Amino acid sequence: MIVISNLHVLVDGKAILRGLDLTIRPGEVHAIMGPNGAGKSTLSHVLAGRAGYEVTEGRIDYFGKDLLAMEPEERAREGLFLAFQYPVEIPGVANATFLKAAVNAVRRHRGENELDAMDFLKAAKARMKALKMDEKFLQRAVNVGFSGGEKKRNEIFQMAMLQPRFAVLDETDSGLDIDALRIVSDGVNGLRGPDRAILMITHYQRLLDYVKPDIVHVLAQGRIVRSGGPELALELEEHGYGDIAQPAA
Amino acid sequence: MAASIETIETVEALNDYKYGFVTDIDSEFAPKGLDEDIVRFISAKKDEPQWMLDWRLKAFRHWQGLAVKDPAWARLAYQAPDYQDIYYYAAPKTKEGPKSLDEVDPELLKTYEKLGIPLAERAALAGIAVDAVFDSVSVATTFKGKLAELGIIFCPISEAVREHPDLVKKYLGSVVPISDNAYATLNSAVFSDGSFVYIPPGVRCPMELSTYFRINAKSTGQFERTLIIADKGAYVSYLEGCTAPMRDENQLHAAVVELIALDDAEIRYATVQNWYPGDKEGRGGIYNFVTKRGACRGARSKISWTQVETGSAITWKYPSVILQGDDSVGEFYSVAVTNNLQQADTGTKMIHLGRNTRSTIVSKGISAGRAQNTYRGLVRMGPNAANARNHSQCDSLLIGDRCGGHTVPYIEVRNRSAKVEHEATTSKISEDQLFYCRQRGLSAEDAVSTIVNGFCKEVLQKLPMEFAVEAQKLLGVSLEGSVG
Amino acid sequence: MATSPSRRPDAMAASTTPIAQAAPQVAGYTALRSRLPGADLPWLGAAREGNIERFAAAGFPHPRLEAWKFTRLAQFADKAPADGAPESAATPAVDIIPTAHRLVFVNGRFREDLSDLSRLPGNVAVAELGQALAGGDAGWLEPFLAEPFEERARSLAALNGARADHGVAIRLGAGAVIDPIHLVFTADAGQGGFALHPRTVIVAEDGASATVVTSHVGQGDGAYWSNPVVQARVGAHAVLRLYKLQAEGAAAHHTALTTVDLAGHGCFHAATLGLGSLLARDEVAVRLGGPEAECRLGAAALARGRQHLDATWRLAHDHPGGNSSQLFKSVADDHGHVVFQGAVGVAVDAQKTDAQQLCRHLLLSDGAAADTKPELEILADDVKCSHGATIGDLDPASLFYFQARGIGIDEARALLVAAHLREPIDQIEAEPVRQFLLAALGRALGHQVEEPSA
Repeated sequence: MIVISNLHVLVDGKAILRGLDLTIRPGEVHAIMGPNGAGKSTLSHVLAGRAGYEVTEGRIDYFGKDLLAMEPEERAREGLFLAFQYPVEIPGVANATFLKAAVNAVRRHRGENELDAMDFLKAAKARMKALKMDEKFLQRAVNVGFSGGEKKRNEIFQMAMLQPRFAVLDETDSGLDIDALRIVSDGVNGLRGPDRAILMITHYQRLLDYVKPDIVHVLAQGRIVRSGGPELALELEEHGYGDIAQPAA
Repeated sequence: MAASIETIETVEALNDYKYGFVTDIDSEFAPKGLDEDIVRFISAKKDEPQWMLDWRLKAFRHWQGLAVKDPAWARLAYQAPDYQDIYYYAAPKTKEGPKSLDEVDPELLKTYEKLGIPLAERAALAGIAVDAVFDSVSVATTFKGKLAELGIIFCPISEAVREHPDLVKKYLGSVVPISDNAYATLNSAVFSDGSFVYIPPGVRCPMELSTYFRINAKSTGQFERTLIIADKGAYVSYLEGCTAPMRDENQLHAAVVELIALDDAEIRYATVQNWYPGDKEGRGGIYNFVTKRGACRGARSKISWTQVETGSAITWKYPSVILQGDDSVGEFYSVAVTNNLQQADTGTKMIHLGRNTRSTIVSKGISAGRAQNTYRGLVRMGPNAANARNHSQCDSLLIGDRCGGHTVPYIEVRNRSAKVEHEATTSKISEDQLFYCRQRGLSAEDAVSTIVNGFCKEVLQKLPMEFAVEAQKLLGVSLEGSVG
Repeated sequence: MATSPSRRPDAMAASTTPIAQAAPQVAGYTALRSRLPGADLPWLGAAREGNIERFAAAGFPHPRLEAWKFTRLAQFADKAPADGAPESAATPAVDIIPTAHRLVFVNGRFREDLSDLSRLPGNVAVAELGQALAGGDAGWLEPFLAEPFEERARSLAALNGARADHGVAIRLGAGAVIDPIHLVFTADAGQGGFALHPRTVIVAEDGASATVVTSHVGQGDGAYWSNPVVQARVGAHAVLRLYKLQAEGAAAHHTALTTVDLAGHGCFHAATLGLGSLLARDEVAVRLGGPEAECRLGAAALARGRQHLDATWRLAHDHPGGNSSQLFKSVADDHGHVVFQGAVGVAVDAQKTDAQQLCRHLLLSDGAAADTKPELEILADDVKCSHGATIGDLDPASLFYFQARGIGIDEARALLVAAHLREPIDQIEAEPVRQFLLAALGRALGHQVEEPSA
């Protein structure tokens, strides 16, 4: 399981996370909501190991390992996947090339045999079918010229191929219309399972109608100020963050 | 009788004295330095006819008269070579090489591994005696037989001077004249080896011609001279170099390559070169000064240059195309990588003389470390180049904040119906791109390699397939250590 | 149809070396030196002497200097005028911006009767150069007038440094604002044979904002030489807009240098319309000398007959966060020849620089020619730099579109040429200035160039 204890993080010298605690077990789907600037994006970047975030106190225990001591690619190979809010473009590098390299990096790390081109394509096409993606997309350069919806679908496709232990979805629903949202949600739901922990970071409650969380947290002023079941999301939708965002006395 | 043979040999050896050399008969080196005697010695060693010697001497005298022997305008900072401190002739090496792979420097073997060079070739490249590995002589013989059937000539230039003098006389120096630039002048006087290719009319050369198959290819000449002629309707694809790091005691490499394409002919010339760049402080690296030029003499002819260059301490080369024939096409696709303290000033010249001529330039420069990488290009549309077209794309990728990427294009237009479009961009590998790759499990170095290959994709696609695969790996290897 | 090289005024071989050509200029200076403004200021006298020595040592610029590769002065230099201009009491018929503050010079002499400095705000000082030097408070001019133009490619600016005998000194105090100041330099060409060396210095202190328009207008066919130098210093958060109309006489030579130093958060916009002269070389060098500075350069050039118009720009991004854009549009017709050299240099620590450059040349005739060298020298990696250049004729598809709507081909060409050239002028925010330049363009093209309806 993943245990975040008393996490304090500075960004450009400013304290963003101020003592965040969170425990996520395999099989659980958690959602974190909160007002803008509360630290939701910071949390996802610190989990993935992005430079520019200074951890001044606290610890993240990842299935018994010290996550903060691991390089980003090590965390990835240990099964941590971040679906980016703004996936970047990589011109000239085909999706297939990129993803096969990633899949095999993880497999090598786990001591599994690498997939050759044929096996990779077979697996990829199957996943793409489920996500209603055009096969031609495999030869397109990573995210180049993709619409917002296509980029998000690409993230979920990669997640399906990499089979992570812990998936962090950073504002996966932002910029999606209803149809795209449905497809992406089906993708995420298809990846739920007893061996997988999922953390959704979202500003709007809409996504949570499609991917029902087990636990909902509110992140405000740099820490989790309230946790509850799925009905907490509805409450926030109706009343806004106003009262709840004040930490309990 | 044995005695008289011995006498003859002794007398012949004595004749060498008149060139003023040391009395050691076994010596295969001319003394250091360049003077007229050396030029004569080289010509005699190659058994050249008088007209060839005269040509060399003309070039030598022109070189002597040059006030400036090094390019002052290029963005290069280097110690100009002392021209009197160089050997201008050395016989092919027959020194003892390693007897097996066990004797080869393990670092070198590791590089071959990373570059994906086939096991069979590694031994040959490492200098292990050829017959201990495989019978390359018989391979070359079968290969040459097939070419001969088609009337294709592919031989060392020294052989062509003797066996095909008419062709050589007609075309040598017709694209790069003796007076073209100081290095071409020097090369014309002292060139030692190189390829000669002639494709007869209507013939499509059935295989990639590669310098690898040339006898003695492994010892790289410093003053190579290559001449390739594609007669009407002919086609040839020529590959030069290989990705294995080429070390050489000779620091200065001043080659000349001339290509001639007649009506409807096409020549593709691809270079993948990985010169030894010197140590991390840039000492001992190769100076690579090359004059490469193609003449699209005939209508509808086509010449394309594709190059992946990395490694040399100083690179100064501008493969060019003169588009004389109407409807002729010139192309230049290049990836130039500089790392550590390397400097490259490279680019192309497209000279449009004929009507409806077309040229395409795609240049990708990658700098890392404290390297300086300059693209210098010229597109000239002459007054008669009606409806000529050029499109140029020059992109620089900077890795790290201590290197430099520079673009200096010259565009000169003298015809109103000609159209020129030029674009240049400079960028870096973004933190976002690197992080994205790493979050998907790629190491930092693999991430750089992936992104760089994507940046160069348009050029790599132009290479013949085996070269393309090696080139991709080469890019990864040359940028090792560039991302801290 | 092939054209022979001798048709070009600048292509014939010179009879003497650049340094020998300099001798008459040195003699001209020596004869005048005691009568030059500020003769009683020791620092200025020393500066003039230093500059004439530098000019004498370098001579006129020649094509072996990379910056002068495309523009040959050899034939001109053989007979470049060294004398001052004759007096002219005429009132030249020159267009002005009616609402602007104004200084007018005719043949290098300040004409108070034609000028208007009556409405200057209190914190703005504007004076003719000689008056500014005589005023007793000339210390602030020292760094500018004492500038040693050491590069051989800048030898003509060094000559100006020695010879400058008229010009304008503009100084805006912190936060000062001034709407257009129009500096009008006219030449009554007459028989020609004279040289004008005007010098303008503009200082905008922190937070100031100024628009300065300079006109260089020649009347008549005499062959004269105009060699202006403009130096500007723009303080932090200050804005300087510098617009120029080059409409020198048909036989004149115009060699200009403008240097600008921008402080952090300073902003410099320039636009030039090049119409006149037989040969013009307009050089602009801007240094972004502080973080987050902004520079926008634009120019439109129309080269006809045997005109040779050269625009050479150098931008130096020395500090981080700088933003620059360059736009050059030109048209060459008859045997006109346009040259554009645009260099952008980004220093090692100038991260987050954004530099864009666009150059478009139109060639309308068989004898027309264009040379372009857009140059990028980048030493910092976290930057966005790009440049684009196109050269060609009018697009046939565009022409056909006009024709398909009933518009004749000549009118179509004229409209497209005007649209092509006006783009850098359309970027000028101040309406009176924009109108002024569009009117000048319209006169040159022979038809009105209208403002697009709002």
